[in-house]
Amino acid sequence: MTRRTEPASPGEGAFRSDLVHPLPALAVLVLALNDHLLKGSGWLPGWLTGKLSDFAGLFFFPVLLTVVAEAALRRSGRAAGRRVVAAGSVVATGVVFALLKSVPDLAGAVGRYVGTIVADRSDLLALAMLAPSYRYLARHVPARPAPRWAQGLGVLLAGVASMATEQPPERGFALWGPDGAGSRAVGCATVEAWVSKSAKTGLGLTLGARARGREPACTVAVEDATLYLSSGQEVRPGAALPRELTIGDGSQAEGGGSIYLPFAFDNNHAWNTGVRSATLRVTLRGQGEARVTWDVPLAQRYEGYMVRRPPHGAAP
Amino acid sequence: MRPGSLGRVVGAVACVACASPAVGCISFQSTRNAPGVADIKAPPRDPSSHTVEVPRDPGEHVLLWNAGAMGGGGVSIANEASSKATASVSFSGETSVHFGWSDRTHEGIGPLLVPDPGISVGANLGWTLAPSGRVSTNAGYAELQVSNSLLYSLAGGWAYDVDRKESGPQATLTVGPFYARSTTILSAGTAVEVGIVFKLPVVVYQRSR
Repeated sequence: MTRRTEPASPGEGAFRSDLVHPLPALAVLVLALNDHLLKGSGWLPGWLTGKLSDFAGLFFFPVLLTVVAEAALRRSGRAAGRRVVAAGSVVATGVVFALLKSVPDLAGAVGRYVGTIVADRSDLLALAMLAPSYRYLARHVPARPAPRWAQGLGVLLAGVASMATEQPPERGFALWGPDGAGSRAVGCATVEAWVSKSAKTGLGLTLGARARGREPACTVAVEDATLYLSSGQEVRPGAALPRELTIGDGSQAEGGGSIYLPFAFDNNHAWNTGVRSATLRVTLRGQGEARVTWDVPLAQRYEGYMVRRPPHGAAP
Repeated sequence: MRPGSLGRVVGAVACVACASPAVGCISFQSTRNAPGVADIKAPPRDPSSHTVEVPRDPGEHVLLWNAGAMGGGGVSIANEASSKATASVSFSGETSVHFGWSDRTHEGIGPLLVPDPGISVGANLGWTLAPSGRVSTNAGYAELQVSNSLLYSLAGGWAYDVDRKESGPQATLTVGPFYARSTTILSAGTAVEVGIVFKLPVVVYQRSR
């Protein structure tokens, strides 16, 4: 029967040599190529590039952590067996990774400092790489130190590759949005207007209402709406009017109602011919009140050819 | 080939090869057609969200002008019945214009470190110097080209040998950085060569579809 012995802690100058080995070097290479070249290139499917970094990272990050931990222990004059340090690094990496991939709020908070982290539980599959990482650390004790330049390069490349990459840029667009305040008090409610959709074929506006007072139920009638482009074109909505915005009938989760009004027109032509502003004129009537005409100024702005957006985010 | 013309052509090829990296890439991104694609009539996915939904990518058009050099070797076969194929080498300076379109806007760079134009059509203008072999050539050429992401392309055109004052067809297949080319000078013979292409973008113009 063979008795497995605790590998000796590496000697002075040898600790960084754990990174100077084909396995962690390959992991770093995969991570760097994937993050900086493959992601968003269209050469590989998005789900694959998303997983590649996790699999490569979970192999080599415990190695990097072990290197740093052993260096810190050495400087403080303490000593710990290789397997203890390796196990600690593997467990710490796994716990932090699992939390980041399972708790979106945590991923968002950490992502603000280190780059975008997408909380996706299917990424937890990559935890399987911790086993070969531990196996590598437990068995690989450098026989002799690697050259100093190789040690330094290993730590540098591993550190750079460990940094989360920014969300890749996405296509930017010309988008309609409110140009100033977008709310108006009408009787018992405050009516708001915002742009929900903006595209080559027109724009879609949502009118929402929320109660102003403590009345249990409140209704605002949207009697008419017209979009006036700065080019002089008038566009009628593709939805039948009048309709009612009803608050407090239990149909709306947050106690407010909304109406979506699509305005179909050739917005691509409008953009290309310099149409950058418009006015939505809405005729509203509160319960028992006179008719109110509300002009909502709108502006069409360009985000830029390529922009960076938060994951799953809407355009600002 | 006369020694004088040889020197001029070598100089021209060297100038094109050296000048293209120095020129670098000038990129223009048009604001034309900037709105995206969405079904305006369908209600928004989240009616309570006060932010505009990000439209779908309409794709893009890319106009690309690049320049560089090609070098390779192969065999040349003269027209005479008794002629045997002999080894030859060739160097070319080439400049191209590509117009491409893609259903998806490409982020930054494509496989060849230039914005990926997707499917593209283009034209090549170049000069080939093949001083060795049975069919030495000193020929200018023009080709039309169809390519996919600039990775795979097929070009066909006509070459004119200034020394012989004769011309003939030319076809070029490009796969990544490699090319295979057949040039026939009708009065002399045919050269078939493979080699490496090194081209850099000079001007890139990107526009939403």
